[in-house]
Amino acid sequence: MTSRVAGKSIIVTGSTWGIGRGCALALAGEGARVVITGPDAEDEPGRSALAEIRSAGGEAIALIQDVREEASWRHVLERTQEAFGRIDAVINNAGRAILKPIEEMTLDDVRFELTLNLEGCFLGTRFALERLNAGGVVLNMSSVAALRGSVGSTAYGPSKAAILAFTRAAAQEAIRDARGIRVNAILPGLIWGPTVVMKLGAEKANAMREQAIARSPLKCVGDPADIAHLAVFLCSDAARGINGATLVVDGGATI
Amino acid sequence: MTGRLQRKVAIVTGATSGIGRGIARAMASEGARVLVTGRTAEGGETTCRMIREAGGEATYWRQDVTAETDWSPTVAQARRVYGGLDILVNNAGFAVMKPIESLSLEDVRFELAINFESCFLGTKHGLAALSDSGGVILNTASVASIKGGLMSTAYAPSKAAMLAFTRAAALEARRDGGRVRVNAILPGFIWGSQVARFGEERANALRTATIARTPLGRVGEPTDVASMAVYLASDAAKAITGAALFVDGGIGL
Repeated sequence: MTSRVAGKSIIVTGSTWGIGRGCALALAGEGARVVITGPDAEDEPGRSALAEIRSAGGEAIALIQDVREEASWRHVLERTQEAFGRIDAVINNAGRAILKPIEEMTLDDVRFELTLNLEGCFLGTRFALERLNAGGVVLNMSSVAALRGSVGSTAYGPSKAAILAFTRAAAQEAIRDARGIRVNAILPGLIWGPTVVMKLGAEKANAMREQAIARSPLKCVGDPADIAHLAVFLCSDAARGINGATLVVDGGATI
Repeated sequence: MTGRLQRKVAIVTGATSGIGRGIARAMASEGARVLVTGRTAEGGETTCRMIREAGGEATYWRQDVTAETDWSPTVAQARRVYGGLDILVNNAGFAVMKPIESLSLEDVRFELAINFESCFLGTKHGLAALSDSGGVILNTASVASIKGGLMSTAYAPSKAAMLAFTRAAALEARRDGGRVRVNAILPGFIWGSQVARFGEERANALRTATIARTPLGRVGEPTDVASMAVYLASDAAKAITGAALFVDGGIGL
């Protein structure tokens, strides 16, 4: 099998579960050397992700990281450099969704969303632009919530829209650099995984799933693998013509 | 003469200069009574004087839009002085323009606080007061919300956040029979007071470059944005909510 990202050293933040984990597994499956990061990277979620990659013959390390902290970023970049001798891509995936009506939403909730979702992405990109190899890639995980309003998303939606605008501005800045670094964003729709059930409870999660399926032209909800396939492509040299792009993976729900 | 905003009560944040002043003056000229807010009393009083000289009604109220504790008193002041609240314009903002390698996390936080968090706070505290009147919230975003530009990795995200917020808030404002409309205006490059910060030479270079890239071949003025704000705040726009309206001469195309 031809490996589109073989040998590339790729950091995936927030990759101990969900979409990030899916991206890490797919990239490692294609021969990339992957850095799994998250606050729980050395606990069961991180260990099991690592074991899954290694048992399939892939190469990976897991590092504890808080994407909101500059010092934590420096640590991760240094350890990646030590382990793999290079850094080819950073996937800024870590994030969380606080969903509440505005009357219950506090300024602290808003700041939590902005700090984790946008500032994590800002720091990751700024450090990546400093350290990436020629042809390097920054990939930011936005959301269809950036494009479309929904009840309960007055903090989450703006934080993901901020990532989108950030991606476009950073892409313009990156092309000034001779290394040809590309900056893109993926906008997942509802992605079904155990975390959705864990966070919302089975009843609410299933209602959301049914609604998403009803609304989707493809009559399905997404899976982390759907996002991972696109991430592999965008990290590969085959995507060298794609910069500042924002790619929606939602089965057509926002059409 | 009966204006399109006759007897309406409006709060316009950041109305001490530039676009905000333009919006306050235009709304007052259409019959609205305006609470002019901002941090600089001198600028605020100047806006009020301009309005009064034109026969309108306005009061300056000192407010830091990033401070949550300033919001309830601001809404209360509008109700006390003018007896209600119909229009809230979340206009206060600032542009920090630097390349990413020189941009600090503090710069990013400053932009998010003054541009977006202020809009969140205003909407959160204004919604209840507005719901009595079936009022209107207008958020001054930017064409940078949808288009990247050099040196805007902090400014553009903060303005994009306002746009996404507008869409989510517009839906929430219509729950349970709510009648408040929430819209965003996206100005392009507006020749206003913030331009002075660039210095004359850079400002003129920016002006020339902008004109060259703008389909309408001109840079915008605060009155262009103000005309849109008056329209959106008026009953003529009663079918419009959650919308993003460009006033950019087509540069976002």
